Amino acid sequence: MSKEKLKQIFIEEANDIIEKMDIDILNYEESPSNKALLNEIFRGVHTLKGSANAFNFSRLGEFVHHFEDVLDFFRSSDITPSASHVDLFLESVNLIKETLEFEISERSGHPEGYEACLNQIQKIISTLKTTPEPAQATITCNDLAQEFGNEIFDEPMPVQRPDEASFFERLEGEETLYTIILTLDSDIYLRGFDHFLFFKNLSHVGRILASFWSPIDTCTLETFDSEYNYFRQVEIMYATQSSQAQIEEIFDFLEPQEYRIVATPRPTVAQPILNVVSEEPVEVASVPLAKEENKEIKAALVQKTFLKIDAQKLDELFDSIGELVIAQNYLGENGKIKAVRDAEVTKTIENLSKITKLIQNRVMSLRMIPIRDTFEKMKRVVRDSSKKVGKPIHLVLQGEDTEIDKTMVEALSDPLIHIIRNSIDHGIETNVEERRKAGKSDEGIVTLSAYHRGGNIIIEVKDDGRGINKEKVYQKALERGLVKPEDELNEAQIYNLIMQPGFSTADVISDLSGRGVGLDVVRTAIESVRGKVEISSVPNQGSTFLIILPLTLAIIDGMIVRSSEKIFIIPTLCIIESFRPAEDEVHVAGSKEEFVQLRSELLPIVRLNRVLELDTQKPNAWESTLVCIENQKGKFALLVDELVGRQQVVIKTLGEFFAKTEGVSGGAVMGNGEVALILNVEELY
Amino acid sequence: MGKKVILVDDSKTILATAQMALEEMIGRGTIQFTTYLNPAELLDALLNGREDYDLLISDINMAQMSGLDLAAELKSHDKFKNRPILILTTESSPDMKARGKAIGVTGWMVKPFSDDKLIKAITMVLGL
Repeated sequence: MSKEKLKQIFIEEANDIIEKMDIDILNYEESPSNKALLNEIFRGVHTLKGSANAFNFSRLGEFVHHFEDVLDFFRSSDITPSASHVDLFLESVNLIKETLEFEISERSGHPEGYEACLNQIQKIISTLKTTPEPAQATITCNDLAQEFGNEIFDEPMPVQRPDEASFFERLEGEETLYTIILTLDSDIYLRGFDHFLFFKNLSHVGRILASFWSPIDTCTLETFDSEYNYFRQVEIMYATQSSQAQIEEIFDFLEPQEYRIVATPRPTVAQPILNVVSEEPVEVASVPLAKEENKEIKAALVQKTFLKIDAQKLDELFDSIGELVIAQNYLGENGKIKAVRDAEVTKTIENLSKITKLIQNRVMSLRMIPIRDTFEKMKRVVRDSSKKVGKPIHLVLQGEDTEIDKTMVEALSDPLIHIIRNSIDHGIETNVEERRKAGKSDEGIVTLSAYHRGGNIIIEVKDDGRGINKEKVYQKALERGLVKPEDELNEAQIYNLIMQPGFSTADVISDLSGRGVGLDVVRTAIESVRGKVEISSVPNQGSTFLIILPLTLAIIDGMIVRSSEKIFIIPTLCIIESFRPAEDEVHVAGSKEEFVQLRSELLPIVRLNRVLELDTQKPNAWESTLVCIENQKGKFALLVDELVGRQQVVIKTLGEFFAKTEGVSGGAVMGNGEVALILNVEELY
Repeated sequence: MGKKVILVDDSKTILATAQMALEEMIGRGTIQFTTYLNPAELLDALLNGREDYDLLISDINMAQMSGLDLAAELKSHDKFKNRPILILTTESSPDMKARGKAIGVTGWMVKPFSDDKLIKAITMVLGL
């Protein structure tokens, strides 16, 4: 793994943290007594701090350091942050985000407002901390020593030193003689150490010539505690070529008072360090320690929590699964295989089919993630929008656990933001009085919900505002030339006009949802993931935006139709109904254009074989099947020879060369191995 | 069989950094290395015998439980009582350290850590 890759991981993690902080702060604002949330926020900042410094992101590091201080202050005091504090927190999160971007792109300087925000943060601390908290008794090392019964070691127990000269005789080459004195605390075993460990480590970088052990107290067998270190001092005569610093590393985790390393000078200048005899030390012969080496067994690396997979690889897997499904279908529908009337063959194929389905479902579920995060993000959008236009808004979330395709989650975020801003800006009444008169709460209610409906996922954004003024929309569309006066539009079509490019419902383009782009970007974005937007509205009760999404992007539910001996697939999502008209319901205008009467509507008939220029046959409409399809422009009846059936198909692109073929959006391999084209209903009429 | 080292930290960055630092040791089979993002999950696995360690390295500030609480809990079980636990954290206040020592924490490492330091610490504590 390279440093770059690590950085990538960090950036991803940091973004997650920042996003979560945003949400946590908003939730905290709602329930300021929730210290756990504050802790969460603190922890996020804390993690950022640790990693930021690891990557030398000093600007980010400094900012989060101070931010952490403020959070820590609130976390550990009884003072509840005020609204302005929360605003500052959110501002800080923004700055953290921006600073991170600066750091990533290695831009110099600071993002706008960095200094100001940092100053404010520091001000909070200084003003709030004017009354210093009662000084806590800090525990010093000495207290600790006392607590652990250390004081008796302050003066090392005198031990009789054997003749030093004998040790010098045993030195080899460049070795130096050291005396290492270990005065390990009595709790040493509980801390995961034992004398043996140090001996082992020492033997790696030098030779232990001898050791002298001084037991602390005599204890009886009854009082013996196996977890208590009874050796108050061990003196080790140690020969090594390593430096003193290298030896010290071995004792890195010991308290400073627990060890002492002394380079022992040659006897000529010998100054015995300890020369008073009090107890008889026990000499333990040094034993060469065998290294436990076991190179054959490779350590298995187990990542217990999550496996990160390259999205590309996952896509390839989906592709292969698609192939598998096709091959499986082919097997099931192959005439020759069907002809084999053998129970075992049938059973095997059935079994294979079952397993294929299972694999398909499981693999598809890999891409599915709960929509929760996207919904939570909207809290911030609502809060900001609400502040900006001065309307109090209550956001209700429903069905956050609904799972949708990850690609769609990404495509969904912007359209949702747009719709929500639009609802708050234009939907919810500006005047509280107006709301009260209509018997509504002072707070505007925006409901965001997600649920499954018939093989689709529905995301619903609902507001309880004044609703869409149909008349106004229609007039505006006329003004802008989006509709012609002679066009007859039904309710849904009028509402859909607000998503036409160049349409803006507000008389004054507001700062919030205006910005020159209309709701048409919502439609474009949703359609890019094969979804659909429907708008409905009840005057004075509010409007609802329905985003209808397919379950996955790789597979669509298709209606298979035949025209001129060829089969085609129409996405079921666009089909309203199919029917065979009576002869008197078909009208011909000017011997060219055909229409069909479907209940109260008059729909143009589009002959599929003509549009795709398959042949010039012209069967009677009342002897064919008409499929009623709705696209952006309205409804039309597609004339096909017959309906073959409904099937889930795996979408295949047609390749670069055919990608722009009009009327066709892709292809699919059918069960019998034949290729069927998927029709693009937008381009048929 | 190499000694078993477990690292628990709720930062994926830290886990990945450590993983990278220890690649060679793992490759040589000197240690087995397992990482956990969730201390509660680790504790559960340990107490139910699904997991074991010769050395545990733990962050302090984690969502589900603090590293010190994790250490304290483990130290209260005979099986893990004497096993070394290193704390890897940005916090190194004397108060914290005192609490750590009282619990029986083996040692402290401060983030950010160098590869070398981590390797040395593991080598030292396990006597490799």
